[in-house]
Amino acid sequence: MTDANPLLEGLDTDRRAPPCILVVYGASGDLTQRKLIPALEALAADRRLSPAFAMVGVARTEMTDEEFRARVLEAVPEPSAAWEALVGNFRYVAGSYTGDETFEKLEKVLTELDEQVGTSGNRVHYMATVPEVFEGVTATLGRHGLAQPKEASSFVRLVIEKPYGRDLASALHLDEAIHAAFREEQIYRIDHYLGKETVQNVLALRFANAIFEPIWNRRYVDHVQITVAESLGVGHRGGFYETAGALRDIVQNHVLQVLALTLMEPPASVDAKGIRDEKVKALRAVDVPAPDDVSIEVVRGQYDRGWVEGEEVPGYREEGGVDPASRTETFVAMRMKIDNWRWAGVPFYVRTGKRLPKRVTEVAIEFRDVPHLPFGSKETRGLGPNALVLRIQPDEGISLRFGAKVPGQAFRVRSVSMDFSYGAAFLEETPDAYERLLLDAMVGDPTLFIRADEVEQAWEIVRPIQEMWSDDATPLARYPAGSWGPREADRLLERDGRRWRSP
Amino acid sequence: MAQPVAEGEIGSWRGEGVHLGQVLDALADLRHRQQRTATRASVTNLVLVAGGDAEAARACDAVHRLGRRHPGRNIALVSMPDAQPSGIDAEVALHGSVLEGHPVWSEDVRLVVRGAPTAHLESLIEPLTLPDLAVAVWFVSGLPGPHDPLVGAATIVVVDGDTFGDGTSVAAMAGLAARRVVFDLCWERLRPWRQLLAGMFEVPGARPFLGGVQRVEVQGPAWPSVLLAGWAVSRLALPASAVRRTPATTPSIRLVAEHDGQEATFTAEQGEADGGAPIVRAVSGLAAPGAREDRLTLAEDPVAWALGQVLTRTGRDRTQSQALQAAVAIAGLAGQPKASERPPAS
Repeated sequence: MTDANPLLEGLDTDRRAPPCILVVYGASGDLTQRKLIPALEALAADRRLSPAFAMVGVARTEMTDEEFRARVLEAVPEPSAAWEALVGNFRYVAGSYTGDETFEKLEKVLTELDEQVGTSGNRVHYMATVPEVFEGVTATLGRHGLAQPKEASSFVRLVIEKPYGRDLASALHLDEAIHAAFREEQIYRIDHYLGKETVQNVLALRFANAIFEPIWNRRYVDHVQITVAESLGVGHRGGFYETAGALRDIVQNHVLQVLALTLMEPPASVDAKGIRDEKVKALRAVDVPAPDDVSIEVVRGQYDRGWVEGEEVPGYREEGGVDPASRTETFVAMRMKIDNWRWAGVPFYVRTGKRLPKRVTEVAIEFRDVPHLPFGSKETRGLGPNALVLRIQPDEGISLRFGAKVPGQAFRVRSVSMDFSYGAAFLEETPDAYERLLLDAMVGDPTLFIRADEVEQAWEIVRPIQEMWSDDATPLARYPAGSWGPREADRLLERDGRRWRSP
Repeated sequence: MAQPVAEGEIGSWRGEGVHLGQVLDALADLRHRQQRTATRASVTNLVLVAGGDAEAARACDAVHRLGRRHPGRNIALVSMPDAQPSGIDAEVALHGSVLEGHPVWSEDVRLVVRGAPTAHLESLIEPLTLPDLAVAVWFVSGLPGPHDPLVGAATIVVVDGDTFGDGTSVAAMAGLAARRVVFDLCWERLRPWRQLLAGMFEVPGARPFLGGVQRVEVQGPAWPSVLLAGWAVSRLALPASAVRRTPATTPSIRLVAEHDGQEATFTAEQGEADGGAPIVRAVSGLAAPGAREDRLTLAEDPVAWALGQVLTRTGRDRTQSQALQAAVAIAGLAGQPKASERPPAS
């Protein structure tokens, strides 16, 4: 069914998924139920899915097709009629993720759906499983001829959830294993942060406006602070978090992705290659710390019992599934240097942590002072440097801090903040990150997915830190839950004569 | 769906026989006194041009029900050319709303213009609009004349085909759409019909029938039915003579198609859900695997919904323009129902 449907013209259908089957590995899991199904339902309600769309769930749990469909319908409280109609196409395959029998059954189901629903041989394989099975599933898909399209007009894609490995060596190994079955252009590595509208707005702000880019460099910028703070603890993910930590869970992916968008040069075009080439170049410019510098440039911490948002919360070592003597970091602060023409000499301070006072993600660009202030110190007591703050979540928007005269006879200047909130200007509904990324994967737009070389470079940046920490018996810095991290993180900036913002 | 808006009037001012300068002063004064800590984030100027108080009130109501989806300045012009004495009465109100936790600000200016100034409404627009923002002018009463200066002041023109709708208007509307960016709220309200009918051909068993459409059967009031017919024939490159129109209270469209000697119908029509809510239901009269049924619940307030949709657009709607061109030919065919034959609104 390749001919265009002329009746669809003018109906905002430029981003509409073609007929396809989404095969979800880990279909009985939390991610599928909480994120993927609601996102698919929203796409169906918005008529972004083809009527010839089907989903096949694959998992170890025994379930019939009917039970799977009932479970899918349960995941959305008030499903749209369009979704209910599509769910009738959904199938389920129970079995081992590497067993030939599972994939023989899967192949049969896929063929049946092609005939019954008209999915045209198009497949998107989605790994919503634990990472340990990625390699086995892709190898088995390859062995059964399910990793490549049977016809030139159809497509087969693979979507992988993070983490991509535990370190550089395992990421390279995983890539090699996946590339044995799939070509790089078939692989869509998800970092859901990139699906957030406001992360994409960093690109819009920088490259669609003439006023910011000329000052987006070492000549005007004093330093940059990136904060990715969570007020929640590890909750029921204690067991997982013990094997991850803040460096792997947040810094290696979300933080470095936001950093890359902040650092990157303007792309020639906002397409997959243009954006991803520039992001890789930006990440390559990040100075990888020497092992001896890790203890100076990086702070790791772990939260103790404390108070967050009016509630007393346990310390990390008291959480379920966590070793009472755990050395897993729940907080990381780093001072990063960028070795390129634009950013040389401008420190980038990043911090991320759990059980911080509030959930907030922001990029704050602090500008240099004016070369000469023609006012006395008394008149400018309330004046701070100019700052441009890109708030990514919550209350997405932009703040600009600048000096203004205080009304009155005296000439006093103080800082004021001008806030722009996306929510107050554009009241259109913002698609959820998974909604955006699932549609992109089906449409075949990899712009917001991470390329292999980006993943490798991100691991390369954190490699010395991982190595040093794996051998380091120095006690972790402690911080009470509800604070902005350990005192050591403050010292990281104080020695440069700066201090962390209060987001 | 956006959450309901909590809203309230922050402040207001009114005056009779005023100059525009007083209105501007009142706006600035209200903002200064009432909103000194609020930063305004505006995306559009919306100008409503109405022929009377009742019409203006209905249109303003639709704007308010829009949920302040387009924060900015709303200017309602009530034009009363025959009223005396000449002059302007004005009301200004500032509104503050909270939508999903975000403070949203908007300003309503209502001007009742009597006598001579009604011939120069465009001179009132320029000073009142917020700078650098698009100006959407909604002609609430009907289609503006070809030389209406307000059309020239508009970035986009908004009309509602349901307020006019005979064959003459189709030609005039097509002409206007060829010259300006025009959005018809009626065309927008027909989106669910178009969307669902198009979706009927998105399954492989149905797609071949798209090339074999023989007849387009439309029902409904004059304007929506001619628009639906114009849309179908323009998209499918059919002659106007393929259209059969029948008056009815609600719009519907049926495509009769043939493929491989088999005839099938594809229908989109208005109906009611189990709870009584208005829906559009589409169905294809095919056996599996081409069979398909779909439905969409219509907005509770179709005018406000359509207005919200068109205000998010900026460029020309090529599909609408082509549908209008085709509609001119369809409306011009002998034997078709005229606007006077339209049944009473439901």
